[in-house]
Amino acid sequence: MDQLVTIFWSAAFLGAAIRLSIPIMLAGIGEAISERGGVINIGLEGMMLAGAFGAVVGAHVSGNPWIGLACGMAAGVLISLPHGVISINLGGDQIVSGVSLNLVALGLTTFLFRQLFGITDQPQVPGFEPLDIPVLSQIPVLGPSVFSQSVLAYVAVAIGLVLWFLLFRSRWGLRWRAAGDDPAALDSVGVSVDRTRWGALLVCAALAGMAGAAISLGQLFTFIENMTGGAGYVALALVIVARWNPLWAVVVAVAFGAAEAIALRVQAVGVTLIPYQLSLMLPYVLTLVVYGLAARSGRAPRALGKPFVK
Amino acid sequence: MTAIAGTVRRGDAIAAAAVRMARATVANGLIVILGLLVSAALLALTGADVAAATRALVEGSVGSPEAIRQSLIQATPILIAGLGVSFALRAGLVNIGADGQLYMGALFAVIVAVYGPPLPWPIAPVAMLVAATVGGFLWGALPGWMRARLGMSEVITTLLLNFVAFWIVSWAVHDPLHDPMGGGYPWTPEVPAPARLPVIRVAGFFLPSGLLLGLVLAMAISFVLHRTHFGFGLRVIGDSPQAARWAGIDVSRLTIAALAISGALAGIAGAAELAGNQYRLSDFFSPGFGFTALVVALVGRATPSGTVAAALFFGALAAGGGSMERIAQVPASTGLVVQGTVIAILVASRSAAARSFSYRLRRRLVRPDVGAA
Repeated sequence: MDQLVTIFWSAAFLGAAIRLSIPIMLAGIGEAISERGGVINIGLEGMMLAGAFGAVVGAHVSGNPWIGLACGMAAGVLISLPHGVISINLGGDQIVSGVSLNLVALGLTTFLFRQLFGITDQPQVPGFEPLDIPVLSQIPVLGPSVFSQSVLAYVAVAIGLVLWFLLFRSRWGLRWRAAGDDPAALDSVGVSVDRTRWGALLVCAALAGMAGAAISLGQLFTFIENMTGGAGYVALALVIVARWNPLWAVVVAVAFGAAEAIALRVQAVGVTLIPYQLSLMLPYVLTLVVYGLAARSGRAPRALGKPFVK
Repeated sequence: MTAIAGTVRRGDAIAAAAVRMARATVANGLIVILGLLVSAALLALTGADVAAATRALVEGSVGSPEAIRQSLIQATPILIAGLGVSFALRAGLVNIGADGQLYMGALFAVIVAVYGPPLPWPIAPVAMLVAATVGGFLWGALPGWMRARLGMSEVITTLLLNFVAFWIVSWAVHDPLHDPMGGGYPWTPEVPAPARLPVIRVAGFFLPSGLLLGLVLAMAISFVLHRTHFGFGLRVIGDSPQAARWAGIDVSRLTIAALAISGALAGIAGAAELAGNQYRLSDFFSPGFGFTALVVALVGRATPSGTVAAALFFGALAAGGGSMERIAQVPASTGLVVQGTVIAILVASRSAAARSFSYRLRRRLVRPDVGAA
């Protein structure tokens, strides 16, 4: 029992929950926008991986994490372009196209990383260190957990708020939602469905790139092959649980981050009941359980994954 | 070929099918070559010696009897798992979890082979394959049930279940099934000799018996899809779930069955790889067989014969890729780029836009005045 208390009620646990939620939060917000627009991205994982890679290269060359972040977002966008052409302009199968994106991203980042840095050289790059917010970070438990995060955590929450507002309160958002729910209606009022969907996809790709950067520049300060390790797939499930709402994506991401933090804490406190491989399995199992509970309650955008042909 | 329905001669139907198949083979062949060219261009951009890499690729895949044997061994798991992915695709289900199902199959198989009672030759491999079928079946039925009863997308659940299966196997090979005499590696003891799948020598060539098993399974699947009520129901669901429901087909039951069988095939692939190639289960057992299986199924247009052809090709590519890495220092990860590029071109070529383009093109070739009007 004492062990359980040490695991859950501590600044270290809450801090880790938030820290680990940042990548899936950013990717989840992006995917919510994209799916609202009717484009599903199984390639979210690949975009994140490209982002993680681009960010490390950018930060390594420039010595500046912000330039690294920009490079990561650019890499996410760049690798999503074929997916956009195939699924939006050509009307191809979005799921299969996404799978191909993942394969290319994994192969390409592994290959390019070895070409650039060799097998032995593991570059350490400048990243985003935790930032103590004055006064607030002095609050017991909540201070060192919530208000001592890297700047990306605050950026992610702010993006969630802004995109929630745009999605439900702006003309842009109305168009995005129409493109995913009833593209024919959008087309009939003279708005290009293709262009609207491209907008939503590019927002998603940039955020997925940022999510990858949050892993490489916010957690490990280097690149490791396949370092996203399924976070993109978790984010895909997260979007369904969050009912395609960017604000809910923020909340659900923190819950998922907590699941991942449990896994890490279990290892750290040395709970011998569960072997560590099984604790690493926990986030995926919890994601499945939560997804299972929420699957029937939400309603997916009606034209999700369906190409629009005039 | 404008015979009235019911009077079509069997010969005509077979000829038409042959023409269709030849056309599909040529089209997919071109797409695969295009994918290879794109990847070669990528290699050239990074300053690699493309000529040397190509030479190593060809020699390592078809250059010698040993190379061919390697190619066939590489083709075996992706063929059998690819048949599984194809099977689900015919019912409109995208099984991206073949990797996890393959791991579960191999796990069940290794438990029977290494920790079960010692069995003599023909019984031991059969027992392994049966165990693997059960393991894969259960791991495939799970996402089937999740889709049919809970409304969860099989795309996402199978992806996530890959990780769950991987960590279960990782734990098993580190702890309860770990071989203490295994030189410190996290793997199980070797599958005993009587349980292994032998390589058969036919006319100077080496045929892995797992590959023969795959060919038999391909024929069996073809039979099930085209000659049984069950297979017909699956294909109707794949073409139109709404029509299937109206026709009184139990979509839920068939969905679970399709994914379970798909998983069972991936599980058999795991046992074939275990008993025919690696002999030990480890947490580096699969270099992404499940994803290659998906590529193979897609390139093979989800038909058993197409899957066989695609698996042989990608098996050769895997074997050649290994020698490319050893001889020309080109990392094997470029193989992933080839696979991804091939699928991307494939999806683009089958998209609505491509279909309407080829339709317009054909119209224009037949009646040049249509375009001008």
